[in-house]
Amino acid sequence: MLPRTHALTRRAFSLLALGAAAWGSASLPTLAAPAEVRITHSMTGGAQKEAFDAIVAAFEAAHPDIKIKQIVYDDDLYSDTGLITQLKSSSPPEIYFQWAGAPTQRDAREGFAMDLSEALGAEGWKDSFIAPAFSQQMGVLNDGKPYLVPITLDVTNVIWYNKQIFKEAGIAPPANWAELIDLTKKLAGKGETPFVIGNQELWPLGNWASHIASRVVPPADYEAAFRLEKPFNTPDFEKALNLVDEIRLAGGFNKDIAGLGADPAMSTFFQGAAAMHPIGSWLVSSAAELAEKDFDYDEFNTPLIDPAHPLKDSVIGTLTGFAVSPKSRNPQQAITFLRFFTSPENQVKWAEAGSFSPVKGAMEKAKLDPKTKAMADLLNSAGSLVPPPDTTYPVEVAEAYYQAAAYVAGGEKSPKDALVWLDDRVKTMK
Amino acid sequence: MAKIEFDRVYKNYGDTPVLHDVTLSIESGELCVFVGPSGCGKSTLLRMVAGLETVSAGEIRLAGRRANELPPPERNVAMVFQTYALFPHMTVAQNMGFGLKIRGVPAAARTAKIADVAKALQLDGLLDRRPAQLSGGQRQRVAIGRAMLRDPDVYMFDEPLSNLDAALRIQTRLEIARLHQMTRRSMVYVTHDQIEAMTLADRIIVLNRGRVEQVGSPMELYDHPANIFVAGFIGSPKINLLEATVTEQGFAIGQVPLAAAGIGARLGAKVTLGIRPEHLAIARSESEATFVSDVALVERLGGETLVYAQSPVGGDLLILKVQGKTSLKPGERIPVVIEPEHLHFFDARGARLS
Amino acid sequence: MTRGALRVSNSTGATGAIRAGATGLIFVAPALVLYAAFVLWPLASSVYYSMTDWDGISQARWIGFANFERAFADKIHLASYLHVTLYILGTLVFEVSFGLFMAVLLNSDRPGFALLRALFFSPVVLSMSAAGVLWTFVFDYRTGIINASLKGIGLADWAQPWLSQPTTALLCVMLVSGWKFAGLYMILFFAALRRIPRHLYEAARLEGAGPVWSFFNITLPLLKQNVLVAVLLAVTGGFAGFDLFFTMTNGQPYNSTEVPATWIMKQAFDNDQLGYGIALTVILTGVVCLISLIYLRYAERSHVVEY
Repeated sequence: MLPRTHALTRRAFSLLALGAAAWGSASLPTLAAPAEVRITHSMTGGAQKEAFDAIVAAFEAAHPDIKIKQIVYDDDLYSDTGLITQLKSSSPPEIYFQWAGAPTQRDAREGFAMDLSEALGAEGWKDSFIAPAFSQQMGVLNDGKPYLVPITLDVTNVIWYNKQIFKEAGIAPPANWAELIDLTKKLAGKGETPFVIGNQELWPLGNWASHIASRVVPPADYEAAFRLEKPFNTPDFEKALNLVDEIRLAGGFNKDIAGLGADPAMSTFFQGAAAMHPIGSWLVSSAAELAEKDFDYDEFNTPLIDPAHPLKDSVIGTLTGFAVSPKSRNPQQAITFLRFFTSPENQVKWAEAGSFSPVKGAMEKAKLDPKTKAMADLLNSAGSLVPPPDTTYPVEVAEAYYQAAAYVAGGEKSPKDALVWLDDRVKTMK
Repeated sequence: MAKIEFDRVYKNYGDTPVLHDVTLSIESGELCVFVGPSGCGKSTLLRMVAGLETVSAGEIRLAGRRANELPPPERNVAMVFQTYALFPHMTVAQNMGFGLKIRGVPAAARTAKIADVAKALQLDGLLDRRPAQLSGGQRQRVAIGRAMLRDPDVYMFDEPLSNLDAALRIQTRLEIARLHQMTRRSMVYVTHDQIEAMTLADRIIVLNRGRVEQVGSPMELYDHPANIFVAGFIGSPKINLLEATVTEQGFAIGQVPLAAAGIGARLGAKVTLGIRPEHLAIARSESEATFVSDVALVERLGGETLVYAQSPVGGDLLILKVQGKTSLKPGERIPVVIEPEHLHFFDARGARLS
Repeated sequence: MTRGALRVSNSTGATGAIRAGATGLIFVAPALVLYAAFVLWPLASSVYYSMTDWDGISQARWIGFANFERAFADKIHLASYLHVTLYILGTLVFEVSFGLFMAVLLNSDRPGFALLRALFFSPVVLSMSAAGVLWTFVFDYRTGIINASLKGIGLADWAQPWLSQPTTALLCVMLVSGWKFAGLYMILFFAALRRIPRHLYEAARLEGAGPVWSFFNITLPLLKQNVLVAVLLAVTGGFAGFDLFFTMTNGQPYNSTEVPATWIMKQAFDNDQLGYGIALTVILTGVVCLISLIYLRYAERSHVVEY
């Protein structure tokens, strides 16, 4: 839904907007009847917004006593100031869009988000979602209680590849890490750029590097390191960064990886200047806008690294959803809407608009274009879901790990040195 | 020592002509003044000698050598500017000695030379001051001192007194005159003030609209102005100019006939008569008078009195310079007599007649 | 008697002064209220929040000087001051010195020079972010015109990932900064150059001074005030530098172009550590104030030039 709104990409330019937003939300009209449900989000347009509007219209037709009002912000503004200003106002909106993980858990602690245990527990609502959606690591839960109604699953890293280049090189998607290194060497030997990554903001490689680490490091150690309870400088993390180093040694990375922006890197991939581009699921919608019509691409997940690892076939991704403000006027009507919105028939429409619905059966029933379908299959085949560190753990720790990975990919530091640097770096954080 | 020659010199700024066909020479050791109203080209002519302006056509020679392409420092000239051109961030000593420094004179010799010149110009107590801490007269003396330290072949002054008050102007004028007597170097001096020109010059070059009107010693110009422009420009108070008609006996101002010989114009021609104020006198009686006139204004200067009286032919008031004091009052009728031996006649184009 | 009279006049003087002071207070009260509301209060609250653990949303938690201790142990933060110092030195060369050079070079009334000045000035009106994005394209490793030109003239080996190497990235930002702002300093110096009387140069020329001598002995000393202003602008502007770094390198590669402003933004807004970010801002404010004070002490001693 909101591809580039990782914590690391969020920027605050306009603190002024804070004041403006406060005015805006404070002056909302109050009507006795019908009950108003305000929904704030950052869908400014496109297929998803159209689908959402259609579902809202259907809901209002079915519930004449409830009126839906949408409060829409631009992506960056929403995450920087737009949302928080509304949450802190005296009349917060009934429903707001939020990321699972740290933001949802914070909202739960601060009393911005309502405990939805009761609502989700009623009439099997919770069971209508796929099971991993409510798994502990995906961050919908806080202290075991749900605070978010998940609506979209974003895969934050898969490896997209240029089918034409693969065909010309006579290679196929790899079944394991060794094959990936082999095909990287083969492509580099032909003078191709095997991978293009725009790592200026660190998360593009960082996401992938943490997915790799999550498949190598025992899950408990991985979690403990990111929570600063154990050091990073362990043989397991070193092994994970060694894999990144293997790609570098195979001539895998573009020369300008360290300074290139994420968007230019994607354009480079669309222009056929690189064989592979590891990035999230949002590439599909960007390709529709930016790539040539005949640009043919496909994706594969990070290949098998350690067959013995419990998360060997994981997919890295994040959930987004709607939370309900307990301090708003009409929380019950809000829940009524969310149940309507997450009904299987509406979720099929939602899926057909390009969202990865976490509601059971929605993706299967929806008529999907081949790319989205392939992504849905990849998700279905995944043994587990792993969230990106920057939505789950303290952001500065995640960023420090991303930076360590960047050092390795750029050949600036050995994996060992990068981990020594990393432990030194996180020492100052609490 | 250098003779300066201008040979058919022209100067244009783009399409605008500034100087036409200037040919003259300034003798070695001479103090020559370029005088004329503002915009007449006198400063441009000076700056061309210094090499600060290019020559559009013709030739300038210094000591007999073509100087058109000679870079300014090689001309060995020193210039004193109206605005003094002192460096505000340098002390008096630095301002005077920077040229010596550029030319590589050792510090000790420099200091000694500066001290000598400063002493001569009574600047010795001020050497460590900056220009902003000096009076206008002191600043101009610093500028002169700088020129002296250059030890140039030609001194050039570009309206050096214009920014000074009246008393300082006279004092500095005397200092320049003394400098000339002392050094006997060629000096070219530009001014719009004819009194400065008259008092300082060995020779005056009167310029008007880019042309040389007349060249001569101050008294030649005063006694024999070549044209109405020079007659009007030189002399203070200004010369009286009257319309006249040539007659058989001489000429007539309006209805008043006067005898004069050899005016050099045909009978009945309209001419302009020029009479300096000191050559008009008040007659003892109306019978001796050339004409009778009404006093309009009396200016008493002490030793002499200027009487402004109505002209018999109308137009500008006549000015009479009368020695001593008088009790004349405006409105009084006075008999005016013209001294016929001091008359100047100019033809219709303004050129002097015989 | 004299003494008594003196005492009387003294005491009335004192009460009069108090009364006048009270009246005066009424007149300055509106300004004081505004000053307190818009300067003192934000300043005080910044200092308060710099001593808290705060994500900008949850309740702020008082932690004393822990943020400052962390700031001085944060090696990237400390390095950002080294980078900004290098950047400022770079702007002094590429912006101030080059601007001065261009002002002297283009100080002419000859036809075409006004147009040249306008062209040279034009980047100043462009937004900083736009300039950053524009130059990112120019420096691009694959499609940028710099590498394309190098390949075009047979120097393919010289083609570099300019913005992706610690050795070149900061230099690139400096160059763009120079391109962007040299025109501003040129106009500043140009206006001042026009005030220097032509006669000064003529007097020097007659004495045999060349253009280089005149530049260092006339132009430069007389532009001292303007140079001081330009240096202050460059230094304070350099510390505030953010847009170019943000659009061109975002502090990368490997934090080699990290400057205080980019690091503060990352801590405060990307990492949701507003308390820490504010502590870094307080340090930056202190550093800039200190530099300004030193500068003012120096600048006050220099003379204003009168011609």
